[in-house]
Amino acid sequence: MGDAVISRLGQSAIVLDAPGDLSLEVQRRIWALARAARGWPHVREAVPGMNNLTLIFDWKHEDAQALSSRLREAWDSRLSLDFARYARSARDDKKNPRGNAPIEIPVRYGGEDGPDLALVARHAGLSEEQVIERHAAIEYVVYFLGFKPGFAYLGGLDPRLATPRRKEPRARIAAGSVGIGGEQTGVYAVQSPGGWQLIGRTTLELFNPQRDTAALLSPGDIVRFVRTS
Amino acid sequence: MNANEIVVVRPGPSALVVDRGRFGYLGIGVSWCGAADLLALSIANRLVGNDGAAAAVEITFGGAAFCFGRRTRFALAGADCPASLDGERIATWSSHDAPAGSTLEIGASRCGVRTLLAVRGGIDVPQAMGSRTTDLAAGIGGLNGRRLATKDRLPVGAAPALAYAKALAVEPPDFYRERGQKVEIGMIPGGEQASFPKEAQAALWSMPWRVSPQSNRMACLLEGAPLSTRGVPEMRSHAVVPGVVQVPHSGLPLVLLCDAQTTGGYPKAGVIAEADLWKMAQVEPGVCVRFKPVTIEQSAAATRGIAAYLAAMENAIAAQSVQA
Repeated sequence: MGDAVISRLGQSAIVLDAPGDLSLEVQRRIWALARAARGWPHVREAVPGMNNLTLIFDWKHEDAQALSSRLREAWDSRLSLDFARYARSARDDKKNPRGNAPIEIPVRYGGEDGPDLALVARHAGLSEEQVIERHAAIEYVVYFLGFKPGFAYLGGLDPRLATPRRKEPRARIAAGSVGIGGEQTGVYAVQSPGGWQLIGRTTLELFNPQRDTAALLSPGDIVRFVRTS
Repeated sequence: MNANEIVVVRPGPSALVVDRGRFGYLGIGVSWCGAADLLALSIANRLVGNDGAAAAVEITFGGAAFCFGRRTRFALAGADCPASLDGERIATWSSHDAPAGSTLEIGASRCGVRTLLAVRGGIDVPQAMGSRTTDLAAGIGGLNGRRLATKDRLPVGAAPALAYAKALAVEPPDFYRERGQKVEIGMIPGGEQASFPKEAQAALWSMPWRVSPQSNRMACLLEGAPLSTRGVPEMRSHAVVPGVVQVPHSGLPLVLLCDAQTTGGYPKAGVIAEADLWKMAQVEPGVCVRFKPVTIEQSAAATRGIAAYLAAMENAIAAQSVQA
């Protein structure tokens, strides 16, 4: 594996791009690095992406060069060896220790809740029943959150279920809708427009600003969809 | 009505409560939001004696009216709109005292997009995740996380302890007086720009880019001759922030603004200089901008210039102040 590339983006951001192919192992190091960097002085935001990490810093009080060096050192020191510890403390933050057990998301598949289930089944050459079984069989990993509040990018979709996005995005998708977009699956955490194929819906609140931890899912969490209908 | 609140008589095309923004939650997908024109927010707040972080109302394209429950000091800054208080013409970029029960009428904007209405004491809606700013995507902040509607009542906070200054006025930024139909915007080159085809890099700087009517608080969309991003490597999803300039498959650049989504995957051409970002939010549809390359050092100097201007303004206000 080559060196990570650290680059400046405008006045207030630096970006670390991990080298090589996409991997969960690299993503674990990104999570650990993000968690550590949030505690550094003058770092306002540490935002994981797909095998990359962006730090937003207060440039009036922090030198970009110094911050980049610190980031590189932390990356090279392989913080991920300590990931288990970070993951535990992340859970303690939520005051809801649940170890490494998967977070179960109950889903009503098909019908009004999943108007595109038939289309996904046709595209995959499977029955609707088989699509549901395969979708609910996987333990997905939360790679990072982004796009909209509480939205988690999940890794692990069965490639057979990959379905192109709709040509005409829907103007309004209800919170809790479970969809497939290309090679990804996920849950719309808040009502928004969107182009994913909808296969079901959960009543679980993935984003609730009244809670101590507004987003239900955190990077590193394991997620399982559980069929309720 | 004599409560310490203002009533929305007419919100215009879009009005919402804003402050400087909601920070620290990009990692869970929550955008900064805040005023699209942070400079106008800072100035309007100082004109009424607030600190810069107080919440205000952002009015889009004017056409709004508000009624004051109590005698209230207020100021308008940002997009230039004809304004009147109980029928009497008043100046923007200055503070005024509205008598109890009076109505502020803000006409359609003549130059610029967004006008900030600040009131002494600030708009005192409850904080959500550390900020009062409206986040339309998360449905939080402001008034129930939504745009303002007719008959909405906005609570006004207690007046700040600062000594009571007499009514104040400042000169509007040159932007509103000198700009004509072309606006120059500083951009720090960056992201994937170096891997764009040479002609596309040249065209980015030399071509005029017309602001599209589809623009909103999420992004300022630009129209012009599309840029080729042939050969630019496919991007993995990564964090994006206000000011980032993306070039999607259409080849038409867009500038992310305050409500931008927190992650994206389009190639980036650079980041708008901090001191110029407010201008992007004030260029109305149909007007052209040109990008000018600036270094990080030049951008930092311009930002410090704004900070010095605001500090001088605070000193001037303190000098004019009398004890309440």
